[in-house]
Amino acid sequence: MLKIRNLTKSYNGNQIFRNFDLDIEKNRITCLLGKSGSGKTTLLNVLSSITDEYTVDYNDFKNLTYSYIFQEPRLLNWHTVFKNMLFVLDGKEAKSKEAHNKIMNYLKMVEMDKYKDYYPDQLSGGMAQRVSIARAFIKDFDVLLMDEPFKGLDPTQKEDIMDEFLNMWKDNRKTVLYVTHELDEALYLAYDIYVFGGKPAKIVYTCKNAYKMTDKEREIEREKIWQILKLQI
Amino acid sequence: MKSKLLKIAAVMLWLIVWQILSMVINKELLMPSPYVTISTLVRLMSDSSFYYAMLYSLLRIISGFLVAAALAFILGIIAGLNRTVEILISPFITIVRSTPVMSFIILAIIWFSYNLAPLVVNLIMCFPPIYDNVVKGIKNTDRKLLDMAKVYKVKPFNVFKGIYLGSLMPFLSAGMNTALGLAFRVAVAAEVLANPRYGIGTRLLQAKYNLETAEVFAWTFMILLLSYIFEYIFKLIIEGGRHYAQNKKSD
Repeated sequence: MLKIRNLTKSYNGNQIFRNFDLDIEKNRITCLLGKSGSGKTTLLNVLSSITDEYTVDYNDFKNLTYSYIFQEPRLLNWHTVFKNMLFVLDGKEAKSKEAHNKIMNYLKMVEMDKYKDYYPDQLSGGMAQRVSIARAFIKDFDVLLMDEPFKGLDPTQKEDIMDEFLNMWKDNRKTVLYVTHELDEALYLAYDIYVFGGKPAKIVYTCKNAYKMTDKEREIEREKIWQILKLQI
Repeated sequence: MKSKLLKIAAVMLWLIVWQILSMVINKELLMPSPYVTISTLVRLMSDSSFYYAMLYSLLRIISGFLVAAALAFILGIIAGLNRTVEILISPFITIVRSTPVMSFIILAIIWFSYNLAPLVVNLIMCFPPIYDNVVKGIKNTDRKLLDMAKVYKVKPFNVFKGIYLGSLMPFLSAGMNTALGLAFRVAVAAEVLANPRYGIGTRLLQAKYNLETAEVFAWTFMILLLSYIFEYIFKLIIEGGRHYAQNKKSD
């Protein structure tokens, strides 16, 4: 279990979190579900130390290593796909002979190996996001953070990419913390679902072990969460 | 193709305007014709002093430009990352921008040798446009990419090389392009005043004293030609990288 206790964080004078607690099961996909602007991205930035302007009493997340799949691919436009992968590898590892094979392996898993010499601005949004998923997995990490990584993809593509993601994840089964506002995505990918809401943000509903549910139970949960999300407008 | 033809037509148009003007004025002393200018240029080219003048001027132009570019690159990066350094440097930039070039030339002649003065002035004038662009490029670096590198714990040197340098490149080349055009004008102007032994500016002044207007035209033509050639070479270098990348992709 990874814990954070009494997190308080303000941004532009607004208190986003006040005495916020979170428990995440290791080696599972946990989903934080909530409307945009509910502080989901801020939480990921706190956990990954992108920001350090916050106070906390207890924090398991502090000294872990992270990979992060952002809402946008965040690739370097002046480097090829291959070099973008190389960029996140350690200096020593990047120079080794295995680096090339390793990169090609991960690119193959997202069906991007043929595009290794392309520049990001020559790729579609979905292709670029695939590269950013491969980049996240090539790096050794304790926790993978994902911030609406499938947003803006067209529906058929989205399902393919989600399946590719699940396949890669099943290889290592590391801890994943996933943030989204799409209920169906959460039900498709997550083991545990936390519904986020309010200002300052708190967890208003918890759905554990979603992956074990029968179709009927899942429908009931969907309806429940849907009602909660609706109330938050 | 069509735009290329149009460009050639535009050049022809102005050559004809020039020719007509010289025919109307009909005084070689005031307005030599294109033909007289070219034949004067050919006559100048038959003397070795022509090439000395060109060589020395080019040395002043290019070395001043390159030293300015190197300094502007290093200081621009530091200033782009550190606001204090930027504020410390800013008065110098303001002064260079608003002081007449002639003041710098006269001061440089007082302080340095006739040979060196044009180079120094050239360096000072080339610095601000490159520096400004480098600072802008650093500040323009995408915060989101830096956050990404932070999460992935990319080493500072690789962050610099991979992110800052990449976003800097278009700014750097724009600044260097501006500075290169400036270098030709400033260095020759400085030579006219400093009057070094060899230099295009020196020859311009001599031509003026001897009332050889055709020579003034011929030298001016050479400056324009050289400036054009160097800007073209510079463009090729900048685009070289991109072409290489695109060729590589197609195999």
